Amino acid sequence: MSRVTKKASSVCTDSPLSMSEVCQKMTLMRQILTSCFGPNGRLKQVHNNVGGHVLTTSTSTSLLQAVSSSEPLLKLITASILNHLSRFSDCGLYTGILCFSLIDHVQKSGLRPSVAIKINKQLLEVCTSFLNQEDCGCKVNVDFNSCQSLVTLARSVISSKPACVLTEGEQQHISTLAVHAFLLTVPCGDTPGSPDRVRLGKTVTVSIEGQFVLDSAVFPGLLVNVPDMQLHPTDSERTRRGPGPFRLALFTVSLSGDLSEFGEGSLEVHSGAPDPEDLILDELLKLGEQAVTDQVEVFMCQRVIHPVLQHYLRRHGVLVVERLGIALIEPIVQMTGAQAVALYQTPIPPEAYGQVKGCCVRTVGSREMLHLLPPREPAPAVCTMVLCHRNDTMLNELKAVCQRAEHVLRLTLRDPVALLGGGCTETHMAAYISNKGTTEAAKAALSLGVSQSQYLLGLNGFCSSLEAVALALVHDGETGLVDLSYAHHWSVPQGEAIHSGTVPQGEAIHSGTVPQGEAIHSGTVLQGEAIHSGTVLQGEAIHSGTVAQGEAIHSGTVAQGEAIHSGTVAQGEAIHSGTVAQGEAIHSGTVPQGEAIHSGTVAQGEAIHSGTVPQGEAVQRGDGDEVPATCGCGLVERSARPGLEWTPLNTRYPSRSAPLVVGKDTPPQLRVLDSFTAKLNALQVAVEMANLVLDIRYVIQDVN
Amino acid sequence: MGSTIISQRLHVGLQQLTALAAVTHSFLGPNKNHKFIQDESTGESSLVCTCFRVLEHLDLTCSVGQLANETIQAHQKVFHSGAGCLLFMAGVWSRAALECLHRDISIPHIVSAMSEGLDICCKVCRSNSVSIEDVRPNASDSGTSVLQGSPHTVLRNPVTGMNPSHGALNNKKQSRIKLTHSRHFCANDEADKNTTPGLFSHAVSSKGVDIAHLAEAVSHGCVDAMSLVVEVSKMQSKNNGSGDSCRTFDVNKLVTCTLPGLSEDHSCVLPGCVILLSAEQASLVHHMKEQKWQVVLINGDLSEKYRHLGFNSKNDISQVTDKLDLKGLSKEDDWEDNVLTTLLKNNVNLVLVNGEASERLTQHCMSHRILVVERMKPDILKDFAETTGAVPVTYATQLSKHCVGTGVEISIWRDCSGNRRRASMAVNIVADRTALVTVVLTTSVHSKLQTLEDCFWGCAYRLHHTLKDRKLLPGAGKTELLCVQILQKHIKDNGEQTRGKDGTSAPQAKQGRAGNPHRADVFQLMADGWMDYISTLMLNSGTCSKVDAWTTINQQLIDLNGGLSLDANFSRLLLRDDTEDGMMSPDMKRSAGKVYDNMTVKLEAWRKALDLVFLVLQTDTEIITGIDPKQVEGQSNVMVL
Repeated sequence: MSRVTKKASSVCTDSPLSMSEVCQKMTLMRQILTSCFGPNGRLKQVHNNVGGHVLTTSTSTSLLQAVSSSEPLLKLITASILNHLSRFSDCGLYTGILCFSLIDHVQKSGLRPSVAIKINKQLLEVCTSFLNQEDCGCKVNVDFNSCQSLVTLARSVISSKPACVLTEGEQQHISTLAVHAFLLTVPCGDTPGSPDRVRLGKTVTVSIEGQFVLDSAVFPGLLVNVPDMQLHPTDSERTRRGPGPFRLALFTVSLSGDLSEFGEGSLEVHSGAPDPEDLILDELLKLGEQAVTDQVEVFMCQRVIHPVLQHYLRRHGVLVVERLGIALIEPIVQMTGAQAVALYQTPIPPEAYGQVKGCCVRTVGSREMLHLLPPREPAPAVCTMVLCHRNDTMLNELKAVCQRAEHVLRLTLRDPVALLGGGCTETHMAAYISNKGTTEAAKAALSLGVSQSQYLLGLNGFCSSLEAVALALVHDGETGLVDLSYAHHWSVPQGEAIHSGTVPQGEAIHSGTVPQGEAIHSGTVLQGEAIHSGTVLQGEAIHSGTVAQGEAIHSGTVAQGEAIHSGTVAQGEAIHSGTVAQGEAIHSGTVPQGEAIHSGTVAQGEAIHSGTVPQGEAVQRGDGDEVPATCGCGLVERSARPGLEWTPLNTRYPSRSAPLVVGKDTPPQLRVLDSFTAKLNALQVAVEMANLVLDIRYVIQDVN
Repeated sequence: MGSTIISQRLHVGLQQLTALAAVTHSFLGPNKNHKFIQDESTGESSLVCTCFRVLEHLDLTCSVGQLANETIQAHQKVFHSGAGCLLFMAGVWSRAALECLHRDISIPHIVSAMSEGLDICCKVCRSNSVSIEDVRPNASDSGTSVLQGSPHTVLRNPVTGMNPSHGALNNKKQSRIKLTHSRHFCANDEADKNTTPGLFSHAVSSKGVDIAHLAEAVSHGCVDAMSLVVEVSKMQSKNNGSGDSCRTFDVNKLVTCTLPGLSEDHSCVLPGCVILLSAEQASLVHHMKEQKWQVVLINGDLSEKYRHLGFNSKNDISQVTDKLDLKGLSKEDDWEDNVLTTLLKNNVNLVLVNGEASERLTQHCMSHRILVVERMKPDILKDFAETTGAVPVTYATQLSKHCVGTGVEISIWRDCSGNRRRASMAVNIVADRTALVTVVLTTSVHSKLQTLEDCFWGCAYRLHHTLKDRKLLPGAGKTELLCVQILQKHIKDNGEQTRGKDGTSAPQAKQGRAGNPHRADVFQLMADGWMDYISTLMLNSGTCSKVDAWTTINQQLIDLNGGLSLDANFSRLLLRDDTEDGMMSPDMKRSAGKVYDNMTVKLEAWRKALDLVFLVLQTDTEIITGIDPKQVEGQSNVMVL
């Protein structure tokens, strides 16, 4: 009897993004992803409520798989990030941060979703074509004549996860191993049988807990776990025997001799008839006989082999390995050319045999493993990467990171380019599209059918979102800076706060506290006054608008008594905004009370105000000490380029010419490189997801 | 189900780690205080005195606890020693990290400075390690090692078992008696010389290494257990053909057998393996004495029903018959006959079974003078396979002539009946040329068995690592003191360089400062962690209070004036002979220099402790999955995703 319960009707949520609960959860998710980002990111401990295994990670793949949300919009975003990761392995956090940031900026700007979507789409195209340009300033070619850029690429991936807890030497060792493994899996010459296609090999990872990281190694061929090998002296004898090649047979079917494959149901056996188990064993022994006559020397099975068959084979000098597990089957097939046999009732077809060049016992850490050598050179490239680490948590993270590095390296075969890491690509790209967007605003706005100010607002949000990704690399109260010439990202450690640079005479920035409801006006410029920037005291915020030659800015949009304004002001123009209907803003959005704008927190009743900076002068010019020696990626060196000027990230700095491209004639040692393919796709996924989420009008949930 | 997020801005994790580590403080040093762990729900309790056993028995609900446990167990699995040091350092360094956070030092700065500090110290420790060839007995007491005697002679109560001739002298100085039990002060005083005459091994001191002496150096107060280890080494060397000296030690050819009921001085070392048999079976052994026998090895159970691992038995096979079964023989009878015939045909006298053996078959075999022994450890079977040439099989029906091994001797070792156990005869089975050695650990207190076993294995692995590293670190806190000194030197240099910046600043100094402005602070806090270690050692040794210890160490550090040599000053420091009006005899001063620690184990334990601290330090959020959002409503520190 089935119980009948009344079916509950579906729950429909109107404009989910306007609900505070949804926004709260999205902010939380954004914070989680942002805090995980980069080599100084924070770790998350994930476990279930009954005290299961504790996962400590900052890797998006592990994190997003473990953490589930009840919010459909979040589920949607999570799913698309995981989908991106399944294809590219890299840039998961990047996708998430950018996506949430875009949504956030659109909401804050007050732009209508349909307008914002149009603008985002157009800007995405600008970004994509920029990244695909030959002379794109944030791209470097991967030189396959040397390992340097490959190792840098691998190290950037490996060093980006603090839960691996690696010293610098260990990082270098693992990066080199990752590149070594990658190179081993690239076949030399054509794949036999299909001359126009190259088939990449496989890397099998073996992880060993409790050993030194520096014991990690890469071996050509395969390492197979053979736990009880020592029990069979014949096996060790076999492994010592001279060079091969040896003939190998591989089975995927269980050779345990049980009746499980007959399925359910009872079996009636006539008492005079032989035992079905014996019959199967006879069948198996026949198979063994054939293997012996066919001179098979290595006999492998994915599952269990009946001990009697094992015994028989060993008696005849055959090396027997059982319980390989499914994961090893494909690499073995690829390496040995064997066909996995799924039947034991019929004789083994001769073409199913494969070959190995030899076998030997290798002690890896505390484990003894059987090493199968690839049959010929150039080998169908299969290799084994043995990863050792001090504890399980760090080992798991290391394993994930190495697999990611392998994938990233493989992607370079398709596009032999890499992007500058350390946030430099984002800041550079933001500067580029900001400049391009501003200069071509009228044209672009016309073609999109939006007003120019809407376009500028959308552009601003987009650039800020890109910069937000670079800013996410910065934790621990560091300050993210961008230089005004090349638009690379620089981070200034905490405690080395920026006071001020020497400001050229006649310029000053002044920040004041504006009483609630009051409009902002530009300050009087006092000669030689100091600039405040960088670390923003609570309750104060900086906003720098570009105001031409002493012109005043009026901003009148007052939502809840607060006034904020931003925007680039062309020379000689004055901006004023009239009373704007709530929810819409031309220059800056209506910002909810107390919310953060750009980099600072604005306390209630306080307004931001920025001074006049004549003719696009630097907002901040470091006098040297606090800014690090190189930018995030290491391409721009401070010592080599005197006269660099910096401004804090995500404050509106003066409109300026397009960022310069650093000449790569004598490139300095690049510290961080990111995968081009993965990041390009991540950018597209993030923008498209943001657009999709912005476009969602109703969420209908079946609650049954 | 959603996920719940707990933000850990307060760094509860570090506090939890400190608290957890504090539990094991009393295990540090040679004077271990046992702890009782009681399970309130089941009423069970267990006696522990090692760090990894404590964690094993604790119900670690917090995620940090689990992480710590995971680290400790992994370390234990590989090194079998040093887990206490690991957890202690994790505790003190997490406190250091917490203090750094209070001082507003950013996490990357803490991480980089701490790992730099450890790197510096590890490097210096490595270069200051002592080669095992240099670990020599002192001239005056060479050959007086307490460990070279038979275990019976050294199994004295450290307090009451004093030599009477010295009793009067020692009784006046109670504190000295206490000291003899300490790792730092374990002196080879005259008493040993007198009570164990003629039992000193004739250790070869001219060339190579003397294992007995090394064993003493790393005994860490477990004198009894270590003397068993030395015995093992002797026996293995003998089997190896190295004669009477202790030349080899193979920890992989070593098994323990615990026998409750006998007093502790019955612990001993035997070649081959020791098993317990019923009186009935043992009577068979009486007939088997002094002869070589043939053996077969069975992996798995010896029964008709048994099938190998991975075999899915089908239960619903039914036999149909059209005629009456007149013989009345069951399938099992058939099988038994079959097995017995096979065994007899191959002249097998001994069947060693990994799993369980069918009782009926065992009885049958016994009537044919075949001894069946069940529940043999896989390691032992492996050794028998190697030494007798027997090929292990899964099914007895598989046996053929080439599977049979030869050359096994069986003898009765001791009658253990009287404790009302079924298996009451301890039997010794030895294969020819075996290197396998069994250590029989006995105690009359049943709950001490585990502790004894742990202690024994700790000693065995300490010796193993000593021989593997071929290097030792000075023990008794000297290595830690060296680390403190190195860090303080770096702090000082750092300060000088910073001051010198006004005038003539070295470019390197500037870089160092720009790299990490809080380096000195972090180094100091890290050094305090090691200070804590030394002072806890001193506290546990019963020499002084913790505060006194700190004062003394600090005073000595000042006196040492930054010199980096590991000279007599260190020993003096820990012996404090300047404070207690000549309480130390010259013997004891000398012996303090003879305590050593394993290098790889110690450095790796430090590294792992720091790993643990880093993992916890860098974690800002705890995410609990699979929780109903309604459960956590109203909890202020919890957010729902």
